[in-house]
Amino acid sequence: MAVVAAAKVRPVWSADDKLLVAVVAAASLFLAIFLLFPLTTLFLESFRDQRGAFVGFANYLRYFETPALVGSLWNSVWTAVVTTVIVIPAAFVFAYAMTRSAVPGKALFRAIALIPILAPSLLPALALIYVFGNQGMLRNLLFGHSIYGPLGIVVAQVFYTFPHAFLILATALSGADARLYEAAEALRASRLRVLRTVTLPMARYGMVSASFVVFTLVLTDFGIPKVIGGSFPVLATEVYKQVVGQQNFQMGAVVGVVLLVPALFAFAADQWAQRRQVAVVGVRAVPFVPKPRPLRDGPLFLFCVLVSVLMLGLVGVAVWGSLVTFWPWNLTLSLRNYAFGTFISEGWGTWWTSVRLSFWTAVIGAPLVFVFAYAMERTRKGAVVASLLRLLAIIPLAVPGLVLGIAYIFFFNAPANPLGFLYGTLAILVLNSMVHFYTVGHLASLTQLKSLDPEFEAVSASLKVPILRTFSSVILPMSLPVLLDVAIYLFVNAMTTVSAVVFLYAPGIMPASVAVVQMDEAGFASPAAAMATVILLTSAAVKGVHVAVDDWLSARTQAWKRR
Amino acid sequence: MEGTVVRPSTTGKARGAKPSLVVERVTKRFGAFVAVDDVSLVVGRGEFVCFLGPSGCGKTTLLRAIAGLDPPDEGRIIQDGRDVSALPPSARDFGIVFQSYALFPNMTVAANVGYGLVSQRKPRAEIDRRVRDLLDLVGLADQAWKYPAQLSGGQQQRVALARALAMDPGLLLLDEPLSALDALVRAHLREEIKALQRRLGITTIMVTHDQEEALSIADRVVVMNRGRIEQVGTPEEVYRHPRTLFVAGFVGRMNSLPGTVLDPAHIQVGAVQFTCRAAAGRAAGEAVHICLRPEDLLPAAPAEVGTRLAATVRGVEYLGSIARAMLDAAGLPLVMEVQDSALRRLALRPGAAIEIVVPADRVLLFDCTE
Repeated sequence: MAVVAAAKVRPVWSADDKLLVAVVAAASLFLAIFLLFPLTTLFLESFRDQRGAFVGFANYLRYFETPALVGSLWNSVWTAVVTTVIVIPAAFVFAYAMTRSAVPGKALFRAIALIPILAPSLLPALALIYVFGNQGMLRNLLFGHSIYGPLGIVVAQVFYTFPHAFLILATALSGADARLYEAAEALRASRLRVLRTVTLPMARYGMVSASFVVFTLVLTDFGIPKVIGGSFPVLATEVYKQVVGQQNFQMGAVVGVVLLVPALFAFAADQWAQRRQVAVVGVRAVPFVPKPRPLRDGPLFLFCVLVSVLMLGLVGVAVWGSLVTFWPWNLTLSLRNYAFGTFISEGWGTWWTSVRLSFWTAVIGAPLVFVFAYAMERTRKGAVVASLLRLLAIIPLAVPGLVLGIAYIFFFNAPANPLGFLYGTLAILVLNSMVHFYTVGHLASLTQLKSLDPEFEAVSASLKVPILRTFSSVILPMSLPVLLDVAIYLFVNAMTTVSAVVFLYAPGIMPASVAVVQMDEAGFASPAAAMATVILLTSAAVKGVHVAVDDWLSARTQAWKRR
Repeated sequence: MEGTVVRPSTTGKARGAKPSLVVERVTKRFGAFVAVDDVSLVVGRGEFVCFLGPSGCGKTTLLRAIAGLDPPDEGRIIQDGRDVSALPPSARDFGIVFQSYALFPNMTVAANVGYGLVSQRKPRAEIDRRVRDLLDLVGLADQAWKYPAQLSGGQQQRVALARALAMDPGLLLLDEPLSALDALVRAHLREEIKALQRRLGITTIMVTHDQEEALSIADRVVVMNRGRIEQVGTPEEVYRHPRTLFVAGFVGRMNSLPGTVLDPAHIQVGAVQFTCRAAAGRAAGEAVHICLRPEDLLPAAPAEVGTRLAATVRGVEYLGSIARAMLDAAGLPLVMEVQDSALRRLALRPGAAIEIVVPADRVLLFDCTE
């Protein structure tokens, strides 16, 4: 046989290939326009002066020569570190109680611990002001210290970040392999030794991950320092002051980039930790079921009660404060603070704006994120683009809302941008929220898609069924619960977020969360608390509907899930 | 088209008049890794072929290249005279069953089997009839309204098979279809698949790493290793006349020892000289591998001709119908397989002495370079 090079194969594209590549292209375009280009513009803008001329590092030099600005960086970092150091052990013990003990009332404790997620970050801060503020009932307990400043910031952040840390740690701890514990017991290891050699190593990467998440949340949160920071400057309030107060966009860009650096660092470390986490739980793991042990469960139960009381207390104070006629002189209850029209021109309209914003973010965002994730995961062509896109899709997690907000100003407000018509509309708020919270939905979708048999599409192709039909009759029905989860996540976050939208709202479309900031700034603390309560109730109601729909869905799909 | 096809020597003989599938110099790379390396093969119409090899040998990659799921980088794949090398799976003509079955969990058995038919916009009644026939064929007519999760593994496998056959494909591809099942179900389904394939006369390729499965089910076995085909042949050919040391070691059990050619009739292995037909034509002093099947070591009887060895039993592995005896034959470690009846008769137990015979025509030789 003559040795001739075998013919190269140039695969023909099927209709399915074309469709998937088209969706991947659409996803690339979406993330490029609404994430990559704005961030690039922000980055370039930090090297320019007001007139747009390139000035190199001049803006950065000015930044580091201004003591107030550099001080705010340091303040941000150390309050974030202190918060992390407090939250992680507390959340770990709580998560341990929920996953590794026989404490009664776990469902209730869990629900209470998650309340802060449903409210804007300002809510705990407002509550702290009621209790320890200038007119607070317990301000004497602070022995002359002021709640306005680092103390208030740290305490409020602890409440705000607790559920985030708890969720991560609970996930890390719940993946326990009972066989490891049986092996340790069979080898007669003491309980302390089991904790040290089995439990803690297993949760190690969860702790790293949770630490970085908390650190980043505190570093980039705007609401809490705005409300309770007083004259204590942090990065987030500084960037707001530069951009909104002084219209100094260039310095705003610099602070944005500076803010991005630690966030990106934390993000990279978190990615590293998460990759390690995967290997811990094997496929054949036997779930761990804790047995009652009073000596362990008793103290843990008390701890859970304490956390719950603090959580409920703080939320309760905010709600109560919002119902009080005039704090602290007239404590009779009334709905006076809920007549938002008397405090802010858009009144209840801000709530309606938030509902519309959240609704569209959820209804458009969830299917979009899922379809994009599906195309990235399943496309057979353009694999390189798809993998770059997967990288791009996790970047929003590292980008603080404030940075994204300023980046949107630079990009969409530029006169040359044909998409400029979006600026100042509800649409840009929706798009911004979708991108800001993109990553969690993307990762949830990927996890779901990975749990589906990768050969569904191959079987469909062999049966000559177009991929669109398999997607709509197999993939989608099976992924509905996840899709719903993502939608609710988007809704709640769009409802409570302040940081990005505070730069992007326009008259007539002020979201409720921004109204909280505005009313608080104008001295209307109780109406601000009232609005925060309304936001909390809205999120909670949506969450309640979610649970009901989820039950209905799982009842409907019972037939094919039952073994 | 068949006339122009070059048939490399490895392809063996195809059964049918016209080949159903011709694989010609197919190469598939994943980055720097060559998963399938310049492989050629002809599969006859109605033939049952097994790709056999260890994991990572390229057998599944080759199957997926034939299906178009992972199109090859180079080479040609011709199915029924049509060059399909570049076509996507949907433009090819095959049915496939995966190891995971990939049944749609949210659809009933009937909906799964009829999934492809519905897309063809056939009349409802016709689809129903076809689905019923297919479920009859695999013996699941009474399970039509169940969901996959409510069926046993073996039943799910049959549903997957019925679904793969629904579109009347010219080629049936089975990717380790039995490896997720219990041993008993596996053996049973193996027979059923073979019977079904005979009845339908459908050209079938099955990938497996289980040599017993391959030998029992296939018309021809394609033994693969490191992306290349080592040997193609009937189960008997592959077992009795392995072409390479790899095939000898992978298919069935083998005593494999290094030796040296003494003369065209004898091989020196340690202190033993084996009489050996296969040595003819080899130069004296050549280093070789000598391979002996455990069942070819025979308890010495006066009538047996061959190399006689005095051995000591080191241990016995009892397997029911047969037993394996670990022997020390003049310093050579050898494994011998005997029937249970022979085991009783010979009273093999550790420490026992036994004389064995190795027939000269049962000694296999391979080059040392392999």
